Amino acid sequence: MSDALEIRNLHKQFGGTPAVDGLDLVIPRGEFHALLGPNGAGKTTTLRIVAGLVRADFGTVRVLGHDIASDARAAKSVLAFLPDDPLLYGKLRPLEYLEFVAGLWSIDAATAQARAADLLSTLSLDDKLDGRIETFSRGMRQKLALAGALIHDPAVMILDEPLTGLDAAAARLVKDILIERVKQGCTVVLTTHILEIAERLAERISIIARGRIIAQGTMAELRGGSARGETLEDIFLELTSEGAGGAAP
Amino acid sequence: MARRLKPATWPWLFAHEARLMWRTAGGAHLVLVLGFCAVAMLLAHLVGWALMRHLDLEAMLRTRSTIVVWSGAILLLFILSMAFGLAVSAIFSRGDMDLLLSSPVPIRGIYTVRAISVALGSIALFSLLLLPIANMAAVLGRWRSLAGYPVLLSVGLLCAALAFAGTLGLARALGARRARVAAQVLGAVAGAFVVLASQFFNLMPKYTQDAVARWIKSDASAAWLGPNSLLTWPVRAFFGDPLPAVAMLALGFGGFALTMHLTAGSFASAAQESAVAASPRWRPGARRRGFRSGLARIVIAKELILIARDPMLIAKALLQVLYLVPMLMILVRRGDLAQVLAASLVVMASSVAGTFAWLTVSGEEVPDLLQSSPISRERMRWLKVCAALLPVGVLIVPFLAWYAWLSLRVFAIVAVFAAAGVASAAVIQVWTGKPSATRDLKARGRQNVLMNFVELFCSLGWAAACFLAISGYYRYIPAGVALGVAGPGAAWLVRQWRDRNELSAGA
Repeated sequence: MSDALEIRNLHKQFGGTPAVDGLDLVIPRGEFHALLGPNGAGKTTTLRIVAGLVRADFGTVRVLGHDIASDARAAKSVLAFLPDDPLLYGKLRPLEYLEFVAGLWSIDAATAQARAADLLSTLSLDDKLDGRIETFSRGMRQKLALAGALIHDPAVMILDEPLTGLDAAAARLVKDILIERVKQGCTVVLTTHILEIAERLAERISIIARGRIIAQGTMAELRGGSARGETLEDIFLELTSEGAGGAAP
Repeated sequence: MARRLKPATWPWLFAHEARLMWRTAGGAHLVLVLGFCAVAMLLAHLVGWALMRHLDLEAMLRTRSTIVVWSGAILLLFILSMAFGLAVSAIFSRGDMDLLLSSPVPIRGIYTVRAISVALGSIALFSLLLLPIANMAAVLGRWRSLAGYPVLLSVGLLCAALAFAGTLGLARALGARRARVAAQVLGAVAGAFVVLASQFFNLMPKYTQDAVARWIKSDASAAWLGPNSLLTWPVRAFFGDPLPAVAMLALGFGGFALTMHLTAGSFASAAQESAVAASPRWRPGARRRGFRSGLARIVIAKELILIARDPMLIAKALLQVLYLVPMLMILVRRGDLAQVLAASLVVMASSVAGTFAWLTVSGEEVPDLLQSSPISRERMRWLKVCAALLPVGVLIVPFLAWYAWLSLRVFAIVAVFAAAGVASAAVIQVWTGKPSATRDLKARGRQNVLMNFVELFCSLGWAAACFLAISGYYRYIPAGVALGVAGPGAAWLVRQWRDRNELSAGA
């Protein structure tokens, strides 16, 4: 059975500057995976290539065995992508937005409507159905964007900083939803700068720097060499500091 | 320059504004813009020299004072129109307003500097045309014409003051959200007013036209249109007539200072209110319908909702139609109605179709979502264009019905060429449109100037073919059709070139 996500020798340059530089990453099905890295490490570019938003210069990306370049339709059908600053249609209302997103993934009307009601209720947005999205706060927009990502019941979720702008209660709610999805067999790949979240939620963690994976494994595996400190923050800072060579993944 | 000035002072704020205006005007093509301005100034000076060698203002006032009055009025209204557009942006566009309002800089200073920027912005284009005339008049010995510089500035200040006072008054009366749209429409109508008003004359019955003509020639009109009329003062002031010049300077600078003094508080309120003014009417408990099924229905419905809920876009698009009204009025009076009206209809339909197609294809607010969905870009674009063309259909159906009643032959010709024009405009957008994440129509002009020209010539081609077909000049029709087809052809070539570049970039 193919892996949820298989990235091989991925390269992408912007104006001659490498953003992703020979990145390899394999994530099995049903895993909660955190992708960490300092600013400009290539996380977002990698995720945008996986979601089919940016074309790679070189290398392959397979989502559940479907090549994102040559079989984009099949790959995208099972994928949900939540960008770090999700843009929404300000003039639409939440149900109209979700109806549109469900239409893009060819979800039948009845199923979509039921899922939309369920998601909006779960995300505590059911009292905002009459408001236009342009009136929503940052956190409400983030929750609605997440509802959009979930409405087609994706097998693989790619989430770029999904907890940005959420208050403590909403962040907890979203984390619970993601954990539940993983229990149901969904694969979740997220980036975050809040290392505690990665430490607590992710089964495996990849640390990316200068466009390539420099460390990967469970928390125990990352601790590996005891010289590296105890917390993920210690490990992360040690691996990504200037001059650090990076451990072999 | 801003770095050397004392922070938070008016000059410092003004330097900041100037820098933003300069970079907005030039963008990535600053050298091109400067080159264009230099050539335009050179040409304008040549024209100014030729004009001022022969123009005798006093003689013209004695013999053709009506022309002087109308020229001044047209210029003032155009500058006022420009000022309204800029004032709306200054008040309601968020930009750096949150930053400025949250800073300890006094609001009056921010407001005044913004308003001066609006004044300068509204006369910038006219300066290129008018100041060379003043320069050449001075070179030819009429040095008082250099008064044109401060007079033009005072006109800009006066128009800026009127625009701010009007917009802020509307904001107080209607609320920020409605005021924004109302002020923009008001500004556009001010610009079109002279053209529209002049055409109302053509629509008047013959006896009314004669009566107006008699009034213009009579002594009764002298107070308004005669050589000593106050309405000639703006032009007199520009050429340095002392009393009108002093009056215009006093009116402009004084009016501006007074408006700033009286409306600074309203500016602060309107700017703050605009931060939450995007809020529409809240309709709790509105009846909800079920979800639609089928991608086409959902995409078309979504695009139509977005168009319908953005009154500013509708206002701007409909203004395109408004500017064609005078042309239609002329045609109605002349009786060559069928041919030329049909040609105008083809241009109008193509133009509106191009605008709506741009809105749906390039003004996509959430490109990431669409790109990450399993729907192909091409299919999505065509669905969007279908949505864009529905309002155009609604717009031209009454005209077509009228033609069907008039003559089935003419109806068939108009329907075919209007459809060709609309389809060409749509195809050009589908093949060349790029997501801009903005639905601001101003972005359309900036985004792809070349294709905008292609679209214009294409619609003119179909209009010409339509005119020739109705008039019976069949042998010349291929020329119009060729021009019409050239638009989509050029768009196809652009698309091929773009696809090749994307492929080579991604290889």
